[in-house]
Amino acid sequence: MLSLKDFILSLCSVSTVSGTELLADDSLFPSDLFDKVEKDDIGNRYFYKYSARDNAPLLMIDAHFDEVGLVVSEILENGFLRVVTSGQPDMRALPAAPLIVHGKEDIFAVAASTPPHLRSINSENKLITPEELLIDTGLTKERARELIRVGDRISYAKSQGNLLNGKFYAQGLDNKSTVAIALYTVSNLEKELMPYNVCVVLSAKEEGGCVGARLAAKRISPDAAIVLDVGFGASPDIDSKKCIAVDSGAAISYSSALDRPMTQNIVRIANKRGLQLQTIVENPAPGTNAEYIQFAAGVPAVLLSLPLYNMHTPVEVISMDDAESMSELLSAIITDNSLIGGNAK
Amino acid sequence: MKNLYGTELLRELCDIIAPSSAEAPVADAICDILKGTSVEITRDKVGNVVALKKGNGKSDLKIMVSAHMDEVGFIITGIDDDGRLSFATAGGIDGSVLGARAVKLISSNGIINGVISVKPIHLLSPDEKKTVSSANDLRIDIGAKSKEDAENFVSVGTVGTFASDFVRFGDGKMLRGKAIDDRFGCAVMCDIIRENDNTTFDCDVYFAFTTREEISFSGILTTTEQISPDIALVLESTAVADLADIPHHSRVAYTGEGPAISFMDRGTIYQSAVYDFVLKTAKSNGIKAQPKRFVSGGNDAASVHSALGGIATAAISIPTRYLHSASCVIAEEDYYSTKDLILAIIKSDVIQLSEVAKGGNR
Repeated sequence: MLSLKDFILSLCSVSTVSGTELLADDSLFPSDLFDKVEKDDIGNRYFYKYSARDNAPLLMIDAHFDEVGLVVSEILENGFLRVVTSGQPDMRALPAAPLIVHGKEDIFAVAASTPPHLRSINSENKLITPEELLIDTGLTKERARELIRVGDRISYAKSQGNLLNGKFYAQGLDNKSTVAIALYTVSNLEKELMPYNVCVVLSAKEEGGCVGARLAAKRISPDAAIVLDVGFGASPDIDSKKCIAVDSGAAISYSSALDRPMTQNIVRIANKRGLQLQTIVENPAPGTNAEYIQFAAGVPAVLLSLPLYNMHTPVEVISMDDAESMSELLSAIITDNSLIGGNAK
Repeated sequence: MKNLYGTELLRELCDIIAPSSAEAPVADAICDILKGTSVEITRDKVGNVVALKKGNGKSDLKIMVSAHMDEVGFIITGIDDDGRLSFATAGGIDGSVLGARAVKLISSNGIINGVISVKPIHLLSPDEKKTVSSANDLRIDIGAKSKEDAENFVSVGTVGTFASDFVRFGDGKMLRGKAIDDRFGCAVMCDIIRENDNTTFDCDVYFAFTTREEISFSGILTTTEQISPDIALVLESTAVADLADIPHHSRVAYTGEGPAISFMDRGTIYQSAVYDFVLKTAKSNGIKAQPKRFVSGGNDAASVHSALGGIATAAISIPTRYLHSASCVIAEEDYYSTKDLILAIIKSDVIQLSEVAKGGNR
């Protein structure tokens, strides 16, 4: 198996704009290290690893596999495309950004930017809207019509690079980073040490209403769920209560929407084992798969977040120290037989 | 790089990180590329490289063809306590193409990566969501943990540029990269010199690779005063807007239709005799060219045309979409049309060239 970092980067190198999750090649995943692998019609993937014990409870580990992007809505003269957004891509990152149009083949394109001579003084500082955005395929209109259909997805072109201190940027770290952490961590567990059967769910369509995770939770009906996602990395220009510190490990969310006993159990396990864990309060709900699993499927759910900068842009940044720390924490939690307690028992 | 020609050479030149005042890596590359040819190469104190191709003595006219080596970029203005870097743009970069872009900085330990940080979109106020970020409010994140950590790599005054891959797209006909403005002109001149090394022209031709166009049009002034040319051909990249939804009169020029010839921009009112001559030369040689149909932008011609006693000057520009961003886009065909046009002008009849050198209005 790849190192955790290489696994994260390999997942980031594929585009999975919501609704196209299953187009990612099966060979990306270490399926041979799991007992059972399934897919469903909505776009979820399931990776089961069973405990050596009989009648072990089922623990769901959810991480959404989709990403934000654009969708083609019209093909214009000179191969320009009009688009709508899928999820909430950051419009500040789009003018002149390199993109990939997922047509009959993958087609490189550039998001157009308006030259300064065409901007009036009044609109000088106005950010472009999705309705105004044009995508330049460099193709003739006829070629564009042959290769591209309305409804085709457009993703940011993939760029990756190392920063100092083990930090790196890549497109799609929301949420390929914690997908990789979940699969990597669970695949490395020894069955004898697993008090639970574990199902890692790579859920679909989180960026479009958390549909995949809701259906997955109903389908497998787990005893409890841990949701992994990314959280806003702290910087001086953001309200510190809304973000978590980079280079300080994963964070657990206290929220009225989530399972309180399991949240407290995780804090207790981390303290007992001396592992890094930050806390954040997200009320009434964190805006992730976690509350959908809790509410819609009636499954006790908690949320662990990896700090990330520049969310929904092509240069999402994480710290590898945080990723390793989150993996270690996750491993400790899911091998602890006091995790599921309180309401879940 | 030495054995590369055309847009393959352009690809390599565009990959070099060389904002204004830090052009030396491009100058070094050009000197290396031209080594072994018959041109006389000089480098001056402000970083310009001039390659002189001596003529056959038939005419004492001096033609200067120029292109600038620098590109738009960034200069670090401060280091915050959390290790992030404040910066100013070096050259005109619109705020709309800054946020959440990858950059490269020339650090004390070589080239390092950075990203221009943005606040997460989920936490923006409704007003912030509608507003372009300004360089003043943005920071470059190199991954440093603190001010002291960052200072091991960068300082106030460190420079850098966009990080950007050179990509061929649009069925292979279009090219995308940073710094096409104006490595394009540098590559065209390298091609002309090498491909015509066994030919002697009637005039002396000075190929000037200049510095600091993006901030001052000043490198060219030094070479112009040293050379005192009779005719100057400024090879440039010009911003065009041949996009869907844009009215035709605002498109400036069209990619794929050959170089754009300026009659007027925000730095220069070109002598009509020179403008006419360039367009006529294109037409009579069957080379694609077009007028630049909008008064916008400016370039080294601003310095050249009014230098000394006034110099007959033409700006010959490759139409470029999204100029001064990480994604300058050109049509490959225009590269070769421009090269052909420059060569056709240099090879024009000397009597005709002498008339053009007088400049003036028609």
